[in-house]
Amino acid sequence: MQTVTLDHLTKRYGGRTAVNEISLTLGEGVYGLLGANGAGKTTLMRMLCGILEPDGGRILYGSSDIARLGEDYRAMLGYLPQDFGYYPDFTALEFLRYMACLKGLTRTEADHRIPALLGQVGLAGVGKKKIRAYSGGMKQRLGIAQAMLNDPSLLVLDEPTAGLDPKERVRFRNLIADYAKGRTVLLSTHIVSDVEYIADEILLMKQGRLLQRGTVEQLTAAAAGQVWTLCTDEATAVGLERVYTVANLHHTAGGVEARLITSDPPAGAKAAEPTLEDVYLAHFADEEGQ
Amino acid sequence: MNLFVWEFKKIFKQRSSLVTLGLAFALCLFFGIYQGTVSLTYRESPDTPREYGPAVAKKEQALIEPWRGPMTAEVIKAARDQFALGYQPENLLADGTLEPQVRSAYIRPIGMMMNNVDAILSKVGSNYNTYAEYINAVISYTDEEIEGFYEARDAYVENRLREKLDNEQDIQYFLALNEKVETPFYYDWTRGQEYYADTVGSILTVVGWLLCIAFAPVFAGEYQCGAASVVLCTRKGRGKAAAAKCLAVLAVTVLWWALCCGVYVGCQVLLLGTRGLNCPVQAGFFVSSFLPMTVWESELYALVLALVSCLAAVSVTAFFSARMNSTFPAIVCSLGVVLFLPMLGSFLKIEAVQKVLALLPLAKDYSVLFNTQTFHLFGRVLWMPVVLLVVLPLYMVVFLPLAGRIYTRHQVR
Repeated sequence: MQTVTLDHLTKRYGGRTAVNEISLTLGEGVYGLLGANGAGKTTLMRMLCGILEPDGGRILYGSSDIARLGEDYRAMLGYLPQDFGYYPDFTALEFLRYMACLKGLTRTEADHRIPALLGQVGLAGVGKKKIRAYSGGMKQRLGIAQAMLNDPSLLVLDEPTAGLDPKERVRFRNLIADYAKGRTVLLSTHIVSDVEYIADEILLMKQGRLLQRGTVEQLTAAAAGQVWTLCTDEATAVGLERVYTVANLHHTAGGVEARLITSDPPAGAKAAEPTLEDVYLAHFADEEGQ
Repeated sequence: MNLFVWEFKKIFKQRSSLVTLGLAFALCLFFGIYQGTVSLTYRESPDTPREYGPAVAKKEQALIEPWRGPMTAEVIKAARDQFALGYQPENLLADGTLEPQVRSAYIRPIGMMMNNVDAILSKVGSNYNTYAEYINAVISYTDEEIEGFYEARDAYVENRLREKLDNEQDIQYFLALNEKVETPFYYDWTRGQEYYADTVGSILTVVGWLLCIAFAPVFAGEYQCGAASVVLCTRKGRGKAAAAKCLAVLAVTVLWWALCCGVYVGCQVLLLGTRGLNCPVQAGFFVSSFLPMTVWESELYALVLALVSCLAAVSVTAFFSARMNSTFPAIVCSLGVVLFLPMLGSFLKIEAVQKVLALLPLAKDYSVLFNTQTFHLFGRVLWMPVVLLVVLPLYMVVFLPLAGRIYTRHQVR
């Protein structure tokens, strides 16, 4: 399987740099792209899918520039954008057949693949229903199905779990974990738990830059000594929020247990095992919209 | 199912497009029926009920039957004599007009013929104050004057051209066309047929505007709803999808043109038949025209012009649709080009500007056949109706590839 290489990838919007000199290589497995709003995740994914031209750098599939590969690259690509539009008067079956046609699948391939995918995303019984009548979660699952329709070797999913209920999210995670064997899956999300269990590698993006990358274990290990718990009373707990990044406040019979992200803990705080959410908060607690 | 069929289907799946296309069809159906019924009306006298459509056509065709054929000097003389026969003092009403029954029997069958004869031979330019003045003028034409009718018409056409045009080359061009007008004119009932021929261009122009509205979302709708970001990532989602979209737009345009023409001409044939269509336009309302065409030929030209105009207009729409990020600005821009710019041209009254704006899609209709607008290229005169048939298809050649190019390079920001 070919690797995807991002080489000093840069994108600017006016004076703002949305993606700043990002270089990385994606091989087989699931990559979780984590970052706050405006971190540049979507811009990066759009460039990776060839629908947004970079201002600098290049993207290689194997050793070839994707801009030169054109149709051949797109044939290997599956993409679910964050704000994907549907054709409301199409049924799910019609929509997927149309997408199959766009993706160059034969009629036989489409007839074989579409029912299977609809089953996998839990839409088997509603394929003949117009998309207009679908809920947000159903549309999202249809979006996932279309992205996987051509059995892509590079699957790019931008906020794929938005609008999915917990049960659907679990189903999605399992689907992606199965699918990723021998393929590359890059998914962005705000929901840390979505990638925590299935991502082979986490990419942390902040202000257009790749801040950190590694496995969940590597990232959490790097955060050791920055996560603390402190049992205190309610009034003190409120005061803590003004000074520290508080990951969690748990009300107990004896008071409040606060989980703090800091390298300078208050007296009485006990070191805790960091989770990926703690890592995320350590980097993005100061970001707007978080 | 291939991509073209999907894109074709998608146009009909879009509610707004479907409504607009339905409106275009309804418009043609309405006017198809209207022209052959409400528009074609006759009332013999204030005391009798008004007759409509096919009944009027049938009656007038029956009245004209004895006069149907080449409009020779002998026929015109006989018509003049029939006017004189009918216009007797005992047939006159108190207001100086003729008894309705007498008018129907004597005047109505040859009314168009004598109107045209009078338009050419009249010394006062057919400006009569009373009906009696008109009848007296018609019955006073001498045999000699009537025998010289076609020569007088040619002279009349030439005078009008010289009054209107400064360029001798243009004048000679139109005189050469006039020489091709077959004489004697074939006289028959043409009234209803000319109503249809006269309005088909305008109606299909409106159809063209509606097609522009219907196709505005073809690319812009994809950007607007966010589907473009997925479609553009697919193997065939760029060049092939753009080509399929353009082809689908052209195919639906041709289909809708055929449907609209079909329903309009179908109503014409069903309500009025085909009688009168083979008369030269000069036998009807355009006696002084240089146009060597029959009524059906002129109507056919209007239909063909409407087709190329619609194809050009939707090509412009496709371009704006690919260029804009949402449907509404695409509608505004394309209507700006095919509707407001030609209107502006008619207000500006600057000939050069008018000539250029006349080359825009949907700027001209059937009436262009009776205009003397020309262009000059390498010393040759190019008449506007011919130029339009050559220039309008170029919009497709230019704007559709441009639309495709813009779409395939669209950046999802």
